[in-house]
Amino acid sequence: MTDISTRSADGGAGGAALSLRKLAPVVFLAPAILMLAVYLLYPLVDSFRLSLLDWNGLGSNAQFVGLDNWKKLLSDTLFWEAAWNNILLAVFSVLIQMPIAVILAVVLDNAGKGSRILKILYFLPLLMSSVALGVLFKYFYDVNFGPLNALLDYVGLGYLAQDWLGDTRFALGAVIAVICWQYIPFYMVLFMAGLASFPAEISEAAKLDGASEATIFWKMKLPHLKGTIRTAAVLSVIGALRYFDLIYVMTGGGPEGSSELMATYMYRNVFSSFQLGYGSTVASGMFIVVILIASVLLRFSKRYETEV
Amino acid sequence: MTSITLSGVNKSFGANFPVIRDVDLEIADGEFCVFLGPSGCGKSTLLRMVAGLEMAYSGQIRIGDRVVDKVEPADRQVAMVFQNYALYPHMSVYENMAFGLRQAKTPKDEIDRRVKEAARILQIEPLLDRMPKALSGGQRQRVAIGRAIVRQPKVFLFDEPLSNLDAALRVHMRSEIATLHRNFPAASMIYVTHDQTEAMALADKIVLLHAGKDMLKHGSIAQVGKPLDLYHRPRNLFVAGFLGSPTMNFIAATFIGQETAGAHVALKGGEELLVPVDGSKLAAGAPVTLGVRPEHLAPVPGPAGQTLTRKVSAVEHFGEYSFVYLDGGTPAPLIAKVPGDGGVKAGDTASYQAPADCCHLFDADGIALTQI
Repeated sequence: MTDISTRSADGGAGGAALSLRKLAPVVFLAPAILMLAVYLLYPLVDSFRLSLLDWNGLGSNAQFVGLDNWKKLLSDTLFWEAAWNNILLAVFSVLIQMPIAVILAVVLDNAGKGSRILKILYFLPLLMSSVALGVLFKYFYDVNFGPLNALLDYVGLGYLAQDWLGDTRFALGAVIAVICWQYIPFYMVLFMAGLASFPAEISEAAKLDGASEATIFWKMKLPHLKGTIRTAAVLSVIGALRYFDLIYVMTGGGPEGSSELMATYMYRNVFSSFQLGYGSTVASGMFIVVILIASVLLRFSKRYETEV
Repeated sequence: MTSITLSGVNKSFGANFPVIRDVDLEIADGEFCVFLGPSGCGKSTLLRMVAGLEMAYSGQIRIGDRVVDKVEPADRQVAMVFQNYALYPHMSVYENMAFGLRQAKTPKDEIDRRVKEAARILQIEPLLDRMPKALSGGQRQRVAIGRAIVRQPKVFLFDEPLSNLDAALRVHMRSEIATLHRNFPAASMIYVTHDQTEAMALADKIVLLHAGKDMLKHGSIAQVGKPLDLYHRPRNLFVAGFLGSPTMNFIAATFIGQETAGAHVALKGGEELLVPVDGSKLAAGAPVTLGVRPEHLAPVPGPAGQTLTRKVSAVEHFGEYSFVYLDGGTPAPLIAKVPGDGGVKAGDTASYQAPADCCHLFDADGIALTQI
């Protein structure tokens, strides 16, 4: 009898401990899950719901239109042009930001203690608000009073002066240049962290083997950074596909939609044209495009990792 | 000519922290020289200065007849094996070994011949296509040695190459490095270690570097010589205390006077001993330190001439031999290394003979008195 009661008491305590152990992950994960549900999952599902409506977002006159908005989106050249601009932004972001960030990281890594101030200076753009940066560069590119045209004029290249943000040929490029300028420091820091983990003995062994600094960079340091570069490129592409703020502040997607991105197009539909239903369709379409491209990239980079 | 000469070499990290102090050293053609010393004594820094990876603050380094102070590492005709192997992680074993030769624009056929020959010597032929991450520690070390061999250097430099290996593999690789030295008799070798067993087993010559509290000596050479010279004729207390396991016993003593057969000293424990050294420069009553190695203390039935009689504080049995710990050492207890179980137990009083020719005497500055 005693045995049985003891066992049952133990079993009770054990059971309580077990259920507590099962409960602990739920308790710890709950806040994060709740936040994700409220700020990510619900808006996501709701925007798909809204995409089935014709609604200005203000009154109670929402009409269910089925897949009409989706049909419209598929044939909406403005959306696809915006998506193409996003792809251009992603491609140029990777092509411009990665090499410059690698070069800066290598230079600063070799510069020793004297580079501390430079590191802070290079990092400053990332600390600035995008809106402030947008306003600053809007002035920088200004056709009449902007320092860029003044500088071109000063060095005798005045004939190259342009209405950088007002010309359909240059607007997107001008903003891409600022975006690159803002984000290069972020990738530079990532690569510097990668280089910091490069074993000094390998450089020394290579020096003893007669390798030049350039050879050490190409054959040792760059392969060492491959993983970081791959991750940075994926981050850069995903960031570019969702990009909004600098474009909105500097060009608002114009002129004539030449710098329109999916996000600015969505914003215009929802908040300027008051087409909440169609704007939600654009948002959902953008989500699908980003998910598709990100999945392909992540899958590719994972396969590459396994191969290496 | 593969000799190495260091003359008045100094190195410091910052103004107040000298790491290498006035090093003068000759390493002969084909000699196997071991830089030995405790952690932080500067032995790796000295090796790296020979390699050209660190610059000397002052002094001169010659390899053969050539002053190499301003010569790039790759042009010094040295090859180095690093503690962490330093294999190129993105290259196969073959490419790792061939890399240096490719940099030197060696013809492809010659590269192939040399890599395969080195792989044969080191028995790593089946590993040539593997990447470093697919190798064990011992295999990586062989590849690192192979990478050094293929360059056919004048000087091989080893920076604690075995310290990342387990004990059994370390013994095995140690014998392989000794074989390597026999296979390349013309090349000089400098080997850095803090392990005196490796140093004693491999070295033609040991360079023991000072470290410790005495900053005026830190990074200077404590003694250079053949392993057994350092072991049997240490020049000072630092060398005597560094070599040997367990370390040499030290007992505070007072110099009584010089006799024909040696210096007569009185130990703190009361015994009087004769040590065959020249103490003629010492004044009677001068403080000295007697040194005697644990294995030289032989158990005797009771107090007699040249014996130490002490209380046994502990006994450690190792089967083949035992360590008997005795009261009265300076600063650590005395240890007698005796065969079998030692025949005593803690609390006993035991006597051990310290043969005169196995005793060392150090003056108040820790300098060994000359043996006669």
